[in-house]
Amino acid sequence: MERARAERLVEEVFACWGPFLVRYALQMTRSPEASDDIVQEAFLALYRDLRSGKTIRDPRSWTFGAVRNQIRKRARILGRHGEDLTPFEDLDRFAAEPRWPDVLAETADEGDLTLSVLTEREKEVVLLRLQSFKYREIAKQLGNSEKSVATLLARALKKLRRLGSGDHTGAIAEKHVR
Amino acid sequence: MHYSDPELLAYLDGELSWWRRIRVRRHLQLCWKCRSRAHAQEQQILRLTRSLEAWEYPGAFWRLDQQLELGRRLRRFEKLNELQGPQPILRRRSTILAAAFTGVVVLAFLIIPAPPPRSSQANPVLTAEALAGARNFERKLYQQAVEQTLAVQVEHVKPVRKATVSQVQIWSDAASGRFVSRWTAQDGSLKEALWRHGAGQEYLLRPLVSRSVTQRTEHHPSSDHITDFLTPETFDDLESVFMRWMESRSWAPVSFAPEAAEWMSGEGAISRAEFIGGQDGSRQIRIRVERLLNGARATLTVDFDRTTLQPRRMSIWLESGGRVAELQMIAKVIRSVRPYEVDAALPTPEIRKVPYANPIEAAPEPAEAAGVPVSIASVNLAERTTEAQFVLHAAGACLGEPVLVEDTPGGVRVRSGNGRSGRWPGAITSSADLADVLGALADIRGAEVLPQNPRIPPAANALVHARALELLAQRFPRTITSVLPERSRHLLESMLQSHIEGVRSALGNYDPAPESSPAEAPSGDWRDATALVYEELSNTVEPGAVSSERVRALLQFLPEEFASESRKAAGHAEIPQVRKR
Repeated sequence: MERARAERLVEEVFACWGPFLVRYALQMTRSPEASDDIVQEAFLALYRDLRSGKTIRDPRSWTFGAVRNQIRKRARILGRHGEDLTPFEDLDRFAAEPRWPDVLAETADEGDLTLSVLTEREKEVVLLRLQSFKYREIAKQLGNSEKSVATLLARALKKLRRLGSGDHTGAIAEKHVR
Repeated sequence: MHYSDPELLAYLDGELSWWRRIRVRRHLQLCWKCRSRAHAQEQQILRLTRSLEAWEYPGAFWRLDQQLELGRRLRRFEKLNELQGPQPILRRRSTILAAAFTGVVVLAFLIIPAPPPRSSQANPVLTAEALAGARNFERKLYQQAVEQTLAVQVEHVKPVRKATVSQVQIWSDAASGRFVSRWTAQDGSLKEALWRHGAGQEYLLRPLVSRSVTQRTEHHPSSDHITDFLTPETFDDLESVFMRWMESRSWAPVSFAPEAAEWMSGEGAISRAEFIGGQDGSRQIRIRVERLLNGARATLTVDFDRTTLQPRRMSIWLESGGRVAELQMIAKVIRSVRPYEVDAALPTPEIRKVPYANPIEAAPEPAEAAGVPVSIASVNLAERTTEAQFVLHAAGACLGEPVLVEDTPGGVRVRSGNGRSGRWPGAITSSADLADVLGALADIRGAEVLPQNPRIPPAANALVHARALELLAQRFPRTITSVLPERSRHLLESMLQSHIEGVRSALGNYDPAPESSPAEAPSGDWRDATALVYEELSNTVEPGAVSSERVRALLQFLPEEFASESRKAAGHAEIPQVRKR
């Protein structure tokens, strides 16, 4: 593909899809710097493939897959070297201090709705569903069945509900068991 | 039988086949338990979406910043590709097609005549996003109390090269309406100060023109865009354009983004946005707009910080008929401050009250002063001062009347504000400029001219004229009057005459108890006589405190110094018309 066309395509995909990807990466890595970098790398890879003439039917799924791979790769490297990704301390604060307090008044009473109690897979499913993906699409992205997507979603909602209703012990216990 | 959570969720998400959907729906109509579970799930989804919406990450500027970063990475990638070796571009069909298409387009351009230039916008997304971001930045910041420091550089490139650098410091608190701006020259001397303590309390000080502070009620901002003040006639003096703009804009911190937006919306504007490296090593976005401005070619350049979108620099480059000039504003400091810092910056207006001092006593005039050759500059100054005073006196400003001052191409025109007072309602001056007239007005207003009032004793109205006479005495000490050119003497004499007549007519029907002591003769100088008249009339609010006879006697001394050749030459004692020379 020519340079200008590839650039335009990458920019368009980035404009509508980048914020979601970085949010997803942040949930996984808990480090804004790392997630920015991972997303940038994914789009650069997309550009590279487009330039080299590969046909990419669904750039959204493609970049999502690239981001997932990048996150796993980094986690592997860090795990091997025994380091931890620097946690982003403000992440929980974002959930606790909403921008529209009136809208969130009812949820504020019931505690934070951080996704940190969820497993990695549940987080992925929830975040993708929040982007209005169909179960079929989510299943295709994550490589499992539609039924398991529904199960994961229902389980995630249950955990969050328990967390919201103040039953922290249950959620935390579940987290530890995991 | 009850449905499981995943099945209910799939039903809510519309993921079931139509047959199962119908079955679940029918079940929900019957089963309380499943219905409440489905409802609980829905509530949970609502909470989840809301809480994720409330995340501040990624922030408003994330997308722009990351887009720029991505662009950089892509370019780096292309560069590396080039270094690794040329690609066999001719083998690619698309390239050949593109080349053929380009050839056809070039041919078409050669054959078809070029269309007339129209407004074009390069990089519209970047430009709009940068402008919107900058506007947002400014709007948010300017709602608080802020301090802003701008370096102002005025450079005349052609025909004569000269540049001045000055600084504007602004403190503004939008909540309380307080505002201070100090415009200082490079050597630290004050050029202009504007401040507002609150609604209706605005003060102006122009030390170059007058030492008095002008107070005005709240003004109606004519335009916030400096562009509206730029005409080819004003290109030669961009500093006064800047001064006029500062006074008549809405008093708030200076914002660059609206100016750029205004330019870009203009007809025939050509705009361009680019990424640049700032002088301090920061990454910046530059927006450049070119357009025709009242027949001159004008270019506006605004630089924004690439990360915060904070406006950094604005310059206006003007070219017209061999004259080239540039006005540049560089944001040095912009920070939010505590409201008490604005308090500290606000000056307290000090209305200057000059006690009358006899110039002869204060500085004995050497007798040979009249014969000393006078430099041209001082003559010009005296001439301008006299004319400025004259037009204001002619319109009644000296009597406390409101006046309208406008800068017309033929000179500064002063008109009576209420249309009834003033002997020369549309007086126009050709030698004095706006600054002179406003300075003279500030002096008159600053000296607390008493308003005329028909209900108070007539002697008090005489006092108003006497006060105007005294002001003239202060403005024209002997050092100035002795070197006045003939025309200026004529004007001064007219002013004196009109006020003498004013005192006489006010005292015409007024006959208090005659003074016992005989009238003292003043020293023969009209300035001394003025002082005595004013002193006499100062106690006239109570009838009988002053002798009109004595005042009349004093008034006789007043015009003597000027009852000279000039009046005979004019042939009448009326106010001579100031004509454009």
